Amino acid sequence: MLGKGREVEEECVGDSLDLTSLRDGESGRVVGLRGGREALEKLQAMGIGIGAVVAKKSSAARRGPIVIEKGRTQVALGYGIAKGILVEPIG
Amino acid sequence: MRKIVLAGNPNVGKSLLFSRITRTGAATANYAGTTVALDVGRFIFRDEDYELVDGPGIYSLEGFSEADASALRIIGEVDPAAGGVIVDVIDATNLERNLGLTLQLISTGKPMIVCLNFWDETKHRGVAIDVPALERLLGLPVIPTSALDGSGVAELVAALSAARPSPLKLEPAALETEYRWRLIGEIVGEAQRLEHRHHRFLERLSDFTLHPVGGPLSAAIVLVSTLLFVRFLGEGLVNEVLEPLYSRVYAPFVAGFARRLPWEFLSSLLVGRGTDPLGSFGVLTSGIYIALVLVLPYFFSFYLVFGFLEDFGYLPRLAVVLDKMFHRLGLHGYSSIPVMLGLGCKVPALMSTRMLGSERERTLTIALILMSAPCLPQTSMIISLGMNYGVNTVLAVFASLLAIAFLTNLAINAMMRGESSEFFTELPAYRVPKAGLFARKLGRRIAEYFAEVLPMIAVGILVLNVLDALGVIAFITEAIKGPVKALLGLPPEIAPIMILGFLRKDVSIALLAPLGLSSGQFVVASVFLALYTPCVAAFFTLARESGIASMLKVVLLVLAAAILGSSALHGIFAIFGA
Repeated sequence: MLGKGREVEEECVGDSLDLTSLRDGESGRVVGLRGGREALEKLQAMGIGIGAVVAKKSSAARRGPIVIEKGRTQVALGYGIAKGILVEPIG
Repeated sequence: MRKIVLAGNPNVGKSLLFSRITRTGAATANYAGTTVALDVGRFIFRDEDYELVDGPGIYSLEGFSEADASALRIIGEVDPAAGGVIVDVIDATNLERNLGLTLQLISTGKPMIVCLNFWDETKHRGVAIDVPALERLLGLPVIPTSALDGSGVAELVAALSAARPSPLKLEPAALETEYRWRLIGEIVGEAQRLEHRHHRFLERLSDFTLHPVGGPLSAAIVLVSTLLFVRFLGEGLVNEVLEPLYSRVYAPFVAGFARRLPWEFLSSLLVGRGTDPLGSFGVLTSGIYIALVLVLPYFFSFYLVFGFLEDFGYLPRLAVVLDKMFHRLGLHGYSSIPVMLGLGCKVPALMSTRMLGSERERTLTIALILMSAPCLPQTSMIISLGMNYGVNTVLAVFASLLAIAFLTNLAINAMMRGESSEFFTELPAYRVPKAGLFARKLGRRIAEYFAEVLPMIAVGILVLNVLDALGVIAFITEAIKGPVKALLGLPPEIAPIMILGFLRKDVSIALLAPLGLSSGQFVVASVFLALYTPCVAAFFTLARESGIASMLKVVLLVLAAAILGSSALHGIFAIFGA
């Protein structure tokens, strides 16, 4: 479901949340990534890899894109990509 | 000649730097993916001849779209033996994320310098970078610049002679993402200090325009105020300034000039027949009237607003809001940027589809670009003529076009199976556009419009006169008379208009003026002329972008949609008696 290319599973941790279930304004540490090769490559090229801390800024209504902040960069991600980013909430 | 390549993440200001250094006008805007093709320029510094290449921005040395591939190619072509240098352009307000690409570029072993762009913004965004420390850590010259106001650009050019391969020895493991980001963390920890600062107004505005409620609300406000602004400024300029100037000053002058022309063919080409500025059809009468009086005011007003939204950074946020709607069409929100560009002119819009990932997405987006709305010159003419029938007629034209475009896209989406890739874009910080830069961009767009419009009208009138003399027009008119009447309910005089419409879309609408159409006929004719074929410039752009075969497929598809859609409209009007 995530773009072209084969599905890749990087690492998966049991009871973590994905980005879509994080509340707006909450931060989380990335503990797993799954999705198409292109989406994963691009996420990591932006520094959103395992261990990165991201903050969820907002989410559009009805499974629309999700905006996250990593450092000083804001990125808008489609719902499907956000679903593949597993996080552990911080604080 | 030494070849210098600008490389960096998207939206770090590479094209702006390119314009500053070569003093040419490369297209710039505040969103990722403005540059889709290569810009090549030259400059001379201290008696040395340089070639500067600006390409699309990339996040890593792995490419996914056509735009990525061309950026990677020019980086690969940098030849150290021939004095080639990579200028790694970094957004200084975003050091950490940009260094990912920097380390990859370093690993190519090519001579580099690093440019910390948007340096002037670091202070109020609470970013302090220790430049000497960064130079030491990267082993490369680091030059702060601000391409928006041009500071530091001279120092950057001077530093080209100090370019060198970084002494940083990166093991292959260093390119593994996890290790690379740990390394970047160390570099950033030493060379950068972030201060906590309160949210500024522009950041609050950004949050609001992305909010689940605030986003759609602000999109609606922006859309409505853009329409109102373009309409009132455009209409005001036409009625208060240009129309009076044309009829009181220019027209009498040209009429006097025409009387003194000895050669009748020349006079009919230049001033046409009769005194009606739309019906006479001369280059100096109708040509000037359409281009200068009816189209230019709307063109100017539209690009005034659009240029502001582009440079301010609103377009990617609007794309977030529109994402859901585009999903229904098998696309994601970023396709809305090419479609919005197409409201102005189809040529840059078609080129910008290079930033999209898959062939399927490009085809769907191209169909939307060509069908959802006419280009701005044609829109101006539809408004100018349509307002004689009333605002409902104008609205009916645009509503019909949107409906036809949606239905066609749903059909293509059903035919071309496959998932669309997901929305994924960086959101640039809002930036207040710099007046000079903004004015130059508007000026360049207007100049490009004029470079094409008058020669095309001249060619069009010539072609029509020749075809008329050869009897071709009479032949075509006779041949299509029956089907045009039956399917579209339009008079046979539409035949020469269709020929001219291929050359200039705005002129084709203008030619409807003398036909005395009813309001329903005007809607059908406008919709048909907007769709039946792209103009010649868009036609060749399409062929170049997607190849002849796939271009023909799209053109035939759009033609079929034009015939079906406008016949259906004619049927609806016939039933309801409009």
